[in-house]
Amino acid sequence: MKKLFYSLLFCGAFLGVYTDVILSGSEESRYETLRFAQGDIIENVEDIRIDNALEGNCEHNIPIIECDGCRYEVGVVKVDSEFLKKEGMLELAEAKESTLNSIIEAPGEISTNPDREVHITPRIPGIIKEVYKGLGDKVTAGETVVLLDSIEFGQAKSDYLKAKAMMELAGKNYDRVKTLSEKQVVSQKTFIEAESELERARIELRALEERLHLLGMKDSDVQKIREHEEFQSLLPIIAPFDGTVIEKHAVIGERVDVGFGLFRVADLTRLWVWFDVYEKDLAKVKNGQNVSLLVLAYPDENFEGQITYIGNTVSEKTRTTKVQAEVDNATGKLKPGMFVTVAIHLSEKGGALIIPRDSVQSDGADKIVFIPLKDNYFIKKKVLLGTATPECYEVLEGLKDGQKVVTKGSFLLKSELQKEKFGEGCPD
Amino acid sequence: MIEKLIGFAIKQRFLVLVGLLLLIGFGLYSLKHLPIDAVPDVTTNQVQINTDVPGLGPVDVEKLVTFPIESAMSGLPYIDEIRSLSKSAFSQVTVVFADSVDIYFARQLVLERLQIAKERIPAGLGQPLMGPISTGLGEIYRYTVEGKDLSPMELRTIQDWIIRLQLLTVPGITEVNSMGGFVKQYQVVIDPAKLVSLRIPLRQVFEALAKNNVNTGGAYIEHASEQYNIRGVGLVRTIEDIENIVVDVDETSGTPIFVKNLGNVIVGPEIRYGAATRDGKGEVVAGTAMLLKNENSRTVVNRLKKKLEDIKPYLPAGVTINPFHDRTDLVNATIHTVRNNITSGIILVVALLILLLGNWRGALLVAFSIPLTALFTFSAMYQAGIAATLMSLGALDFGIIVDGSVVMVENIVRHLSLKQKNSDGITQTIHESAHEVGRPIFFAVMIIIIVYLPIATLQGLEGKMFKPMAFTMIFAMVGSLIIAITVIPVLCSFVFKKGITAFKEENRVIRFIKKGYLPLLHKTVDHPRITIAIVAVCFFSSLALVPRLGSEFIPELDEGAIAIHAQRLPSVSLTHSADLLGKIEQVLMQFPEVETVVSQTGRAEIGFDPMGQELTDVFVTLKPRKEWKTSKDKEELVNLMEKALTRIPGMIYSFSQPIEMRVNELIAGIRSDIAVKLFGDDLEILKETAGEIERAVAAIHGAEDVKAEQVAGQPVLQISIDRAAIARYGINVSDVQDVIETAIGGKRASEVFEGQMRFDLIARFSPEARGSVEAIRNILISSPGGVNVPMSQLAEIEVVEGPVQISREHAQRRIVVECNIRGRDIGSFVAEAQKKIKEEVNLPPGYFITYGGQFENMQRARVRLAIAVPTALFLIFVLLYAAFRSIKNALLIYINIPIAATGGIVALYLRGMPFSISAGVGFIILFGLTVLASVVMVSFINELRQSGIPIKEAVIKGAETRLRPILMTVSTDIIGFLPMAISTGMGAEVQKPLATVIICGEAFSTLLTLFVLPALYRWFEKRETEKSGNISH
Repeated sequence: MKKLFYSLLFCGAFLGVYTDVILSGSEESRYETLRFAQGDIIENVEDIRIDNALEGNCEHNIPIIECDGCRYEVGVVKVDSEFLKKEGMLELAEAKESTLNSIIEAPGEISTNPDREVHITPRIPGIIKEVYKGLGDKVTAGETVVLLDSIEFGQAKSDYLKAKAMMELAGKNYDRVKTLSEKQVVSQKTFIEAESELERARIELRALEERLHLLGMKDSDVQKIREHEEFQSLLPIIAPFDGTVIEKHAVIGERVDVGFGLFRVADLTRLWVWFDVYEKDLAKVKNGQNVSLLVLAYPDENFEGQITYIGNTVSEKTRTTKVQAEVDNATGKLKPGMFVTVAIHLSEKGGALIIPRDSVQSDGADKIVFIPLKDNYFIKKKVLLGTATPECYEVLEGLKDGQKVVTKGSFLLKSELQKEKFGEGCPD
Repeated sequence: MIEKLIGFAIKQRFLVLVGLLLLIGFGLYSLKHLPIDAVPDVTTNQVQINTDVPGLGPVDVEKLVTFPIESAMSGLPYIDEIRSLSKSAFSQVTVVFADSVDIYFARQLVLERLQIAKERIPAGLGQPLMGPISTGLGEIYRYTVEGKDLSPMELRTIQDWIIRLQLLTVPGITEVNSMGGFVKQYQVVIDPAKLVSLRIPLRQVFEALAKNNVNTGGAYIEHASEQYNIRGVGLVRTIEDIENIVVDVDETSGTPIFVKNLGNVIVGPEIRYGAATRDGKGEVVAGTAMLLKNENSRTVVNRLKKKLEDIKPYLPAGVTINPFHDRTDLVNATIHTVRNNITSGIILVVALLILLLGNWRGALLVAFSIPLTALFTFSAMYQAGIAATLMSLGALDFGIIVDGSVVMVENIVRHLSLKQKNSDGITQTIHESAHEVGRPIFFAVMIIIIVYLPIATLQGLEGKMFKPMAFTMIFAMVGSLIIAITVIPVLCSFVFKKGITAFKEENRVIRFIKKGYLPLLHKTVDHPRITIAIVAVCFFSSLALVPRLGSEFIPELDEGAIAIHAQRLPSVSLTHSADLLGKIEQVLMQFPEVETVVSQTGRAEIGFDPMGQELTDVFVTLKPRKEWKTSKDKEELVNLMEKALTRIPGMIYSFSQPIEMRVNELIAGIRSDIAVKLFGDDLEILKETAGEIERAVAAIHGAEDVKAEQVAGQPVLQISIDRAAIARYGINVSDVQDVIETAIGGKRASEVFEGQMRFDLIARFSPEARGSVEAIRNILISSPGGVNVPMSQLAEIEVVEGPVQISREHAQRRIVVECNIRGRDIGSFVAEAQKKIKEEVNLPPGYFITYGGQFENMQRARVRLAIAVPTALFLIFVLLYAAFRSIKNALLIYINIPIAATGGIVALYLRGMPFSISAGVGFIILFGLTVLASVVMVSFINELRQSGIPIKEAVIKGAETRLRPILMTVSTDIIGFLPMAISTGMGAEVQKPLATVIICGEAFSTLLTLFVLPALYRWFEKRETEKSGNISH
């Protein structure tokens, strides 16, 4: 009998069968393992005890697993597995080590990056002469978006040119006085006066040049003005950085004052996502964690980003903390204001033993799986589960890598095992 | 009195003929209108109150719905029992009234109390409705609606709104139940993220949906002598209409927020608790038509089938209605059986009478009394409201019924043949000979009627089962008596107007028998003690066989179809159940005997049958018996099926029959021999104590199939609200509950009308937002203050195991431990169980046990019979005494009664049949027949003695003369019962044991009458005459 038992055991081992049974009530260490000659067979002390029990005879004097009345007491079920497999009612899968991602989902809203969003306003009042850009147009840094016809600007230019002429005049005067002064023709006082006159003109010119700079003129523009003595009143308004026109209020012929928003230009290639994280999840969220976004418009696409900021307060109103992530939007598919579902990738755990969700059944307070014992026999096995994902469970205790478990059909096996219990009220 | 009656009949021959014509006319009328059903209706007189309570679990259903209804009902008059069942989303309270109460009055009583109950049920939970006015036999027609190109939802709509509505107009149909497919519903699938970001509470969506879907009327205005009715049209018609309902207006931008901004509007399926599948080919829509109580199933089904034909042209192309249960099949089989009995009875009786009587006119006359008696019986049944069933008519044997007529005709024929030359006084001769046997016939028939009386006193289930049989038999006997003593002599006076010319003194058969009979008779009469000893030995040894006979209480009537009750773990999902059933159907369809298989899992949307999704009724319709290949009878087929089905694990199958199954569901449903009912309050304690009882009972010798009622095992995602947490956020419990009820469960906000069809409009979160435990944890609850908090922060969310159902009886929670008994008698087992439970089970205070089950019925029947049987025996004795005015004669016949049982007992034993009520009825008939024969014999001997013939000669002469009528009656009885004894058709279950007992019992008792009775007579009389001083010598 013993011999038969061991040969049976090894047969089972060759089939890759791992028999590990927990009888309820046993508090001793259940998962202490032993290694047999074959590398891939892992058995534990408890299993051998159970296998002995399995080998034992029941009250009806037949091997316990062969006995229809007693088999269930040791957690063994017998089914016609060929038939069930053929009918698609029974499937097996392997427990395997894998990386386990756990995520938190949160509803969020896409917004622009406020650092990269600007209202373009004129610095001086004027009348809009030309508008070069429309809604949605791309602009590049320094590009003229609006041409403003501004009396003030013309004034500033002519003031500048006048000051320049004045300075040139003062310069000539100074040169002449200086030569005369060297020849002692004029008094020292006259020289000093000429010198201060020149200085004054230079200051004046510099002040007016500053003013042009203030109006948005670059050195080159000023030089152009200076060289060409151009004093047109047309002021180009330029974009400060690359971006897209997301609002436009500039209309040709409209008189605008200082601070009037001609355009709203934003850089949409990098966007922010704001989402609310609840207190319960706050501890898990960290700066730099990856997030992926799911948007309604592109349900099949994955947008990636990183957490850049975690709020320092919990909002009294929403009872959440605002968290910000920056997301790349080179494709332009994401639009500010979109609602998104943010999945925060908390951690990636390597080396977790995972099994399909289907395979786990509840048995009272326990979680159990069924593992094949031999041909038509399956045995119940208690497992301790860790993290759950929508498809998988992490097994902390109870199974080993490569162990086959019943996925589809595990409920049937459980039902068969508990058949004794639910046969209530049925006529015999 | 009897003499006067006979005299009157002979004198007023034409009056009798008129009466006869009236009887025939009324009989035919009754036959036409007699309710015909396959089996007797054993359903209790009950009113069911069903409440659909969407979303609630058993404990809350019990607390909030069942208990208020139950408590309102208690205290109603004429109540036998109130019991209830609370399941997930369903409550059923059954009020059982005494059988004598009119059902409409009972419903009236219930309705009055229901008003009180409704006030106690929290608003919006559900509307208690009374179940249909139907019985266990009510489900008369089942069909599936199929169509190739149509979706299950479209088919269901066709069933609900075309077929069902039309069938409900058929007179006699009280309800048509739909099952399977999907009930169409307009659904607003809300994206919770949008609600949160737009800061709109869920409540507002509901309000908007309800407010934007109304039609109103504004009375009328008058205009130019005309009147304009005013109608405000605002009902939604299309999905677009719903999408464009405004929910809110954005405060800052002023833009309206439409329903379409919050989610999708779709046409989707209502949440369902049941499904139907057919032939392993997937889901179908099934319909069940229910018969109004006290209606005639055959006529109603015929009306219904005609209606279906009418509907067919109007159905969308490709839609077919395929029946899988048609009660008329069974009813026709019943009619077939009864018709067979009558015709074969007539043929056999005529043949036999011609043979034994040697007079074909007389034979035909006797045969004529068969249809007459039948018509009388039908008339009486119609008046008494007894349906023609396998039970009531199945046991009717026309051999017995003609006994009276046989004796009468034989006597008349014999007398006429003796006085044939004197043809003037034919009427006088007939009168005299009728007079001669009138009293014996009367008393014998009366005695048969009396032996039926104990059966008529039975109550409850057994009463409903056997009373129709007893009454039908009594009617038939009364009819045969009246016909034998009035109609037959009158008819004889017409038929034998010219006397009997070709009558031989002895026909060859009788002469041959007499040759063997007379010498043996002389021997027994000369040696009464030896004769008695032999009989006594036979009798007592047969008594020894009695304990070896099994016993069976209620016979199972073959309905010709199989119903399988399939049970899974209570935690199983409906979808998985439906898949499994598909596999089961495929397995069953592999049997060539199977015509079609339809399974109904769970309960219909509007349920009458409190089945959970773990329970399935599988209806297997079988092909005609001659096409069977793998098995020869139903029992074998069932065994093969059971074996094949065990390949699909995790299920328990129990085989039954459609009507039987339904009746069992309605009558409390405990089918085991013994049910230990434990009453108490706490479910946990009940469960534990039931476990203790289970162990105690299982240890008793003879206990089999011990099972405690499974009450736990339903996984529940329990959301226990943390009051401290909601207080912090200013959220009310109802805010959370609203979300659970509406967002997760889906709540009806309004209705969408499509012509006369109306469909619910519900709002519900999108499946991703509520479809998993994780999603539910993350559902946001918004408080009136605009705070949004995820559910998991407000409540403890966990999956626990909850009760599957809560049964109540006598206003107490109840749990039942059932068991069957094998190999020992019930009485001692129950005594031992009671003792053991008392010793081993520790009952907490407030908990108590009662015992019930089949044993309850048996005990009740036993108590009844213990009074009724001795009373009947006493009455028989009184009658016998009245007949002979001699205690000795009465005793003489009386002694024969038990001894007559000998043959029946032996026959049962040899055929391996249990002692059932059917067999019991057989014995009763047997006793009656024995008495009939004995009375005729003894009264004739008495007459002979009165004419001065010495005892021995009188005995021998009497026995010899009576040989022919006795042989005639006996052989007609036996031949009449022979087809029943070997039949396998419908009703065979009832007929077989009965016929077996009668055939063998009568064969034995005839010997008794022919040999032992004369011997006993002489022995009795001789001792007396010796004592009284030898007057004659």
